[in-house]
Amino acid sequence: MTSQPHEDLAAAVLEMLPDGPVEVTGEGATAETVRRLLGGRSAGEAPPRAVVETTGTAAGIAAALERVASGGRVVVAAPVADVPAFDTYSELHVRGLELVVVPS
Amino acid sequence: MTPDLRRVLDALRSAKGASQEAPLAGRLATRAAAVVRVAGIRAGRRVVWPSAGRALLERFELPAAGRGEVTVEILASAISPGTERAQYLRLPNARPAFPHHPGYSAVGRVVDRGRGAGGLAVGELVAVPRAPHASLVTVPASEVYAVPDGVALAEASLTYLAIIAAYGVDRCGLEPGELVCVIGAGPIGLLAQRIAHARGAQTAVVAPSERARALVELTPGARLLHAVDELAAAAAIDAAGQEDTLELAASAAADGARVVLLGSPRGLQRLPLSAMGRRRLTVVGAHISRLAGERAETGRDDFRRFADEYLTGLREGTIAAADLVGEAVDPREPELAYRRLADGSLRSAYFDWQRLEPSERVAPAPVLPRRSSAPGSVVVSARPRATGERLGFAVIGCGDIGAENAAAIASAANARVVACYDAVPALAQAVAAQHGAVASGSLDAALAEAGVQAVVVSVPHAAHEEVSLAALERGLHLVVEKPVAHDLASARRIASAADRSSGLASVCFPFRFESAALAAQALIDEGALGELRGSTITMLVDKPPSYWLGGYSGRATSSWRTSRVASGGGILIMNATHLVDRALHLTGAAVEEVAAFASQSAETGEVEDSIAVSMRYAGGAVGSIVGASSARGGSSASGLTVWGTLGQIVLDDRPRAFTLHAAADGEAGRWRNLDAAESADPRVVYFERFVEAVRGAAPLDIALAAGVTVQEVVEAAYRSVESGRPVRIEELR
Repeated sequence: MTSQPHEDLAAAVLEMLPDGPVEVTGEGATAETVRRLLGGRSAGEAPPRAVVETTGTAAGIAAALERVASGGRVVVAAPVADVPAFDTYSELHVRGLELVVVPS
Repeated sequence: MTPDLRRVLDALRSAKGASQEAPLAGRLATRAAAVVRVAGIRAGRRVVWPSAGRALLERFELPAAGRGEVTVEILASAISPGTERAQYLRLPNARPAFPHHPGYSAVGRVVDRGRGAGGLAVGELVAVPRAPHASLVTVPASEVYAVPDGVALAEASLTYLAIIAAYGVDRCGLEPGELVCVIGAGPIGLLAQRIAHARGAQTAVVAPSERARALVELTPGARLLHAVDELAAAAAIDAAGQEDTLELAASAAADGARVVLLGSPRGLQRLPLSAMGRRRLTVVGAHISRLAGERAETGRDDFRRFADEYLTGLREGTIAAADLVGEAVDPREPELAYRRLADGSLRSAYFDWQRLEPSERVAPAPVLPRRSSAPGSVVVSARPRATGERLGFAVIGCGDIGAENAAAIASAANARVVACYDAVPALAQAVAAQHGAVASGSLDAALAEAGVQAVVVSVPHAAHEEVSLAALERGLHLVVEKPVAHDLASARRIASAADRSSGLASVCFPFRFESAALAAQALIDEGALGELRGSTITMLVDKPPSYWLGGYSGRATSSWRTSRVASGGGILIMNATHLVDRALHLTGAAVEEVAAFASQSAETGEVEDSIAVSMRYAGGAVGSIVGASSARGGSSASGLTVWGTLGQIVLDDRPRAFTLHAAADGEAGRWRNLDAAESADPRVVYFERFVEAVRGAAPLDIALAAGVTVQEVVEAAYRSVESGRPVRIEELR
């Protein structure tokens, strides 16, 4: 990371997003930066094509997977640790989602 | 409502019920059309899970093909070793509501086609994805796929699994020549590997078990891996869905690769987020329901594309699946199949519906068949005709059971009562008068009476030996009422004398000839019980106090039944010996060790009132006997139960059997009634068959040795009661 880590992280996130509405979770600097860079691409009520998850927690990731549209993508933009026991079935597997983690 | 309309509506309800569990069968179009197509109702058989762990074959009806539909007679339906095993065991993410109609993928022949059913013709072979395990389905014609000539039925039955696998490979986004690593070597994993190979990819498989490794070694283009860290595959597929397999797939993948979650997880998985971030991996879900969603969104029918790819690959030899189809199992025995699937003894398998009669698979007339008689009923057909001279019997002992034996002899087609003797002359005179026989004044006189060729001994147990030896010394044929004697030593002396005699000797266990016992024997002879696991005998009798002084009838006063010396014991030797013989005869098992506790009562005097016996059979099966003569009200549950690895037989006042095999014309996985009207009094049958053996026209059914074997169990039990320790039968020899 450079002296502008949030900016760099947000830029990397943008490269991983598919076309269509995007929703950003979290209230930190990364979240704010991504929201700013996304401009008008924020989602409305309908499930978005992508969710940017900025907490990096298992609960946050699970919520993002639940929120995103079927076939959509969750981009995790936060420091992460392995999750020893995660429900990969209910959302990720059944709804054909994609999950990526931005290097940080 | 007319009967026809009611029938149609019932069929519609049936179809709706099936739809909840089988998505394709559920989307039956144009149901209203069926209301005017009464003649188009079909009947077949299908597998149903009525509750956890249970599986049955049931009859059902469904409307024949309407507009845009085809009705398919199923010939083979694949059992999913992953999904169906998980559902049967009710693993996480696999708990269907009951009743559940399982099924996955099938192949069959079109028997009806509605208007607009495309180019499919009646008689054409088609693969039917998502079909329930049924002999018959009606489905949209757009969702079945023509099977090319030359493709084996069982391999075509895997089409839906191949669609799933092909979707997983698609989700990898592979370029030709790239390497994909498949974690898991079940049918889905290996089909994914083979489809990827056919598409030009390099493939590797990580197989968790020995058997899976053997399968991989048979697989064209597959590399068997023992370590995946250095593999750097362009994509990895987790086809196992186990706790650590997603992490394993990530290890096999190159930086920037896609890791496809194809096998449905049956629990929580380790999610390798740090490696995903560090190595820019994308984890991709690939559940078949998403493919349906994509079709709805795009209109692109990848189901057909994948099905055609698989079936064409089979025909052209670019995809091999013969080793994946597994064992053909009988749909009449679904619970056996699922239990084997659960315990791992059955891996890949399919229901072979051609094992059913054609009329069961597809019945055009929806008329419910009714059984005309209880299954498993057996009629004794070996009763002889009354030809030639009847064998003359001397009835020695004319108490309750002696009178009963005399009546049976008199009723037998080939026997007669010639002489009667009892220490109480009035008893002998009464029985003799009833049957036109002579009332003899002594034992010797009775045995010497003209026309006496055989003797039936029905005296107090301790006197069996004296009477039997006297008869055998004269070369007379001998029937001893059970038990053979009051103790084992005496029984053995009688058996030894019988061996030396020219007379034929038998112990009277007539209940072997009850219809239910014969039906049970037929089932066991078919192997329907499997390996013996145990038996239990219950004999709870409410004997009135007067019994101990005069038997049930009170015809003569005697206290011999309460004397240990005269009778040998109470409820065990007096009554339960019938059931001990039945257990040993039915199972063919030998008792090796016995432990027992007993108690007496004021009424029973020296002999036991109540007894509890534990037994160990050779081979490890266990047994128990619980008997009591003062169980007030008796018990309708008195009887014998034997159970084995494949079934259970209960012989009480409601004889019945449960078998996992469809044995003796019964339905597998259901209790069947073994009760049937007796075609003849079992005691009469016993004597008739004994006489036939004497005449050399039939083998001897029940040799004296059978009674001695029963006596060994009784002796061991009484010795255990006295010694307070288990007694091995071999100690008695």
